[in-house]
Amino acid sequence: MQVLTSGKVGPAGFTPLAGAGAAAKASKDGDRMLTDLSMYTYPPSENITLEEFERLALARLSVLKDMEAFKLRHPNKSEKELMDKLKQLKQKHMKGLAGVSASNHEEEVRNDLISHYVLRLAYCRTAELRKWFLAQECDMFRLKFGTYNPAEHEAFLAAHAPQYRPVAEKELLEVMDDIVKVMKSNLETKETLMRAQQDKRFYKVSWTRVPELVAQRKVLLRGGWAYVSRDALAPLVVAEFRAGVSKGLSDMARRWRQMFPVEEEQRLQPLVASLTSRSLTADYSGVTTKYGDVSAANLHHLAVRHFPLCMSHLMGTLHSERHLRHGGRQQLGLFLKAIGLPMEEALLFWRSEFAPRTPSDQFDKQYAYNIRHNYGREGKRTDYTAHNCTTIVGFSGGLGDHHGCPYRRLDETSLRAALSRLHCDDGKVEEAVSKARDGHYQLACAAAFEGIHRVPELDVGISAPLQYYAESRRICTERDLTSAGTMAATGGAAEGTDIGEQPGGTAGAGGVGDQPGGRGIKRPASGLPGSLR
Amino acid sequence: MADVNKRQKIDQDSGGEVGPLGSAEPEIYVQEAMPSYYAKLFPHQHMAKWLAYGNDGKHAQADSHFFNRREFCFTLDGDIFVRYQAFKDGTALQEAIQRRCPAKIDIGPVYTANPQDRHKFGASFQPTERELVFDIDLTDYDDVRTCGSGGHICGKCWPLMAVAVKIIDAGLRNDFGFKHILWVYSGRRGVHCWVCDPSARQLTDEQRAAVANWFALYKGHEEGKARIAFLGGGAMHPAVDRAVEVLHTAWVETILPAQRLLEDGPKCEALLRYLPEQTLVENIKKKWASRSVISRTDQDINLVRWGVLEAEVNSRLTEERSRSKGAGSYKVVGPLERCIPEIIIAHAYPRLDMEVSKKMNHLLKAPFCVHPKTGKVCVPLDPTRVDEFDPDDVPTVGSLLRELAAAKNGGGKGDSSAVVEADGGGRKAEPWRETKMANAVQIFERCLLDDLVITNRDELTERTRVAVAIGQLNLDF
Repeated sequence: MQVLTSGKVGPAGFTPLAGAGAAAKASKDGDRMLTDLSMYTYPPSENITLEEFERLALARLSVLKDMEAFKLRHPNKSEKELMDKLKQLKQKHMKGLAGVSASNHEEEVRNDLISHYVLRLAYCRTAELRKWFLAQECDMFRLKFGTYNPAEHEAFLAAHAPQYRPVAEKELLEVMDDIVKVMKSNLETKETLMRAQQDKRFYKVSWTRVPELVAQRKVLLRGGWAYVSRDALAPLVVAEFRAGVSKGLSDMARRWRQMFPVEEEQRLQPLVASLTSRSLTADYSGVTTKYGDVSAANLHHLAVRHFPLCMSHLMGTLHSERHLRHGGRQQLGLFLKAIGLPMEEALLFWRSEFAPRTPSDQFDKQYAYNIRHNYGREGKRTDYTAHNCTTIVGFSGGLGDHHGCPYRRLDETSLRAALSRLHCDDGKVEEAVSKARDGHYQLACAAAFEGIHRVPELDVGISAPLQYYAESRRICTERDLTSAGTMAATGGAAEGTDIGEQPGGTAGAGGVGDQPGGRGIKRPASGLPGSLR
Repeated sequence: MADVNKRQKIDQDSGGEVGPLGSAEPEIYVQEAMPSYYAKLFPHQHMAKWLAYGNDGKHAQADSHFFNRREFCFTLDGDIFVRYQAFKDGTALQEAIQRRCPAKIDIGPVYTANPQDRHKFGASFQPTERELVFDIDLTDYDDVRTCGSGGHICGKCWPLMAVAVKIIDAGLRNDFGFKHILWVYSGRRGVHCWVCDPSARQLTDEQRAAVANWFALYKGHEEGKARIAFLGGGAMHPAVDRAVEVLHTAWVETILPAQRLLEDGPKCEALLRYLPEQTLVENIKKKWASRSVISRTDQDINLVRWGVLEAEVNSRLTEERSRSKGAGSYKVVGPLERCIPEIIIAHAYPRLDMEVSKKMNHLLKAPFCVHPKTGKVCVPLDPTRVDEFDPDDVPTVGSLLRELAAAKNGGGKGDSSAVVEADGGGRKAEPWRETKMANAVQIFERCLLDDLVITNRDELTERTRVAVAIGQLNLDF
């Protein structure tokens, strides 16, 4: 009893006159690498360090996610602008990874290939992940392919998609009349007709690759070859790219077990699994040291000014109801820890908030242990990290729960009310509400941030409440310094005339941000205290 | 167990229909003759050679289990369907056929595993290979033929099949590049086509549907007229153009006069509805009634009338075009230009049964089966001689057995042994060669088997080359 495994020779391998067999393809390695656009048909085969593995993947993920966010916020950008943004993002995230600052084309291509495949690993497991990854990659491919000129198209096709063969001039003369008839019979416009006739670049491909065109008689067929114009080519190539990546993803998902031999289970597998949920922004652990002034006393003040809506909403509810359910306590509690609230202060804070409804000994019995556990002082003593946006958006809750992402949970009226309470600019409130309606919760939060702090566009998206807080504090600190600096300057020369000394502005917290007020005045300006600024 | 009683769509027409005198036999007789037919007449070796596709030899790359993964379906006497039959090789198939004497044999796809083991594989039991097939049936032309309907077939409506064969055969070869194409008379009222190229056998359902749609122009009826699926933006697709040329010749030479479509009657009225202008229709009718037309005796009246119709349309076209600088208003000129091709296409262009072609797992009757109602053998057709085929003169199981008896009695050559040796022994031990079956088998060889054998060899050579290349590169898949 014999079984044919799924490695059947599909039609793709059967272009009857294609010529190049499997052996020939593999030897095209050298040519393949030279174009910076790829169909990703062949996985990379080299050894790299775990570190590079991770770094490349995260870099590409940043590019994809930033590109997505950019497109969402600016739906009407032209192709050129999108392409520029893409280049910029690549520059930012993926250059200089190997420590090579000069743009080494081969390095780029290699990094591109490796990062694509690592992300395939990470994003192949569920249908939703696959769909997202596929969409982003296809968009990127389509964008890049669309900006190629004819010569580049030809080079790319010759290297990566040899199934599309350019039609030689002599042959074209024979078939041109028929091609024109085909286009006319499909009601193509005069412009398209003229463009095709002038462009004179046609490709032929095995009809099995374009069944949808054959079914509608949109192409000329001769001996099994379908003739397509260069314009018609792009969607076909993109479709093939999509099909290839999609198949690769499902194959990977199916063979997941085989991907990881036993020894990798502890090493690679968790790494890959974590890639999808990783926060892509910088680590915000420095926050606690930078803004080390968090205490139970000024929490409310901080909440109003610096907390993202999810946390300020929780704070508000906590304060009005003198109680929070478990989900809310966890979400807020971990956040407070992350921003630098010491454990003793935390205990104080929670106890006082709960006090009217919960007597002290009951508090100790029911809630104190949990708080201490969060800080790693009980049980297995894990240092829990605060949740990021993705996780928070995913929280589900019933009636009476206030955790989760308010842009998702709250109805529009409450949302508007909450945002205006935080003195958010009206226009931005509307923007946030509409973004929330469309399901782009993090973008809504970013819009709210812009509205509250009156800053122009936030370049980086919000991916964690901690990030929101850090940004908020940073901006406010900068602002304080600027205004303090101005004040210091106008406040007379008394402060800064000592040679060599840096006149500080008002005691800015730490050495953060610019110090515009701190001008090193080496010599006392003759007579002028510098007030004329 | 479920297989035995699974019903496939059976053609339901008036049972016990007897065709033109003598060429059909009563059903009961046909079934009784089947054992002798399978013993002495059915070309088992040829069928096995075909379906093995080269895997029956000793070549290193030959897949010895290939034949075993092919599904056969037997329809036993009493309309009992037995699906998922599979056989180790041609000999086993022959034994089974001779033992069970199926009224009909269907051929299905080649699966990933032996169909008899399908329950062990669950979802991974899938079809992997299957010829590209077409089924054209005269019943689908009932609205445009006057000589009969339903299971009727005669020399007057056969031209419709002939032209369908010609058009599709040309399309398959020129447009798609297929080479190994077998046309078979379906036994009663239509034809089947089997495309056996290796690339054709590997087509996905989507690709099969694409081929079927490439040939599909007729998209059902609307307001008494057929809907033709071409947009006609000033030009027709070259493939359609070519088809119309072939059609036009056949239309004028055979179909129109044979079907008498322009003689007074409902069919004529229906045809006239394709003309875009009522005044045009009236002019034509007037001219038809004129003395000069009625008195013509040199030509069939249908052709005379058609000539008038064409002339009228053309003169109207010229008139309209000269109106505004040679081009004329497109809204008027367009329909005028299209109406004649439309008429011809609507009445004669091939009407495929799309469902048969689209799915890899569709069962289709095997060549050389005997039609249970008519006794006619499903003989292969030569597409270059399809016009000469006479559906009334197809060998029947009765006529063949009579021929056999005559040959035996007539002393003839060689021993009159009635048993066909398993591997065909000497040619003299194959009694069917004394009968009209020999012609049929010859067509089978000429149109399909001879070239196929060469391609099969090339396939095996290619497989060897790939295997060597893989071995050299040390790739593990």
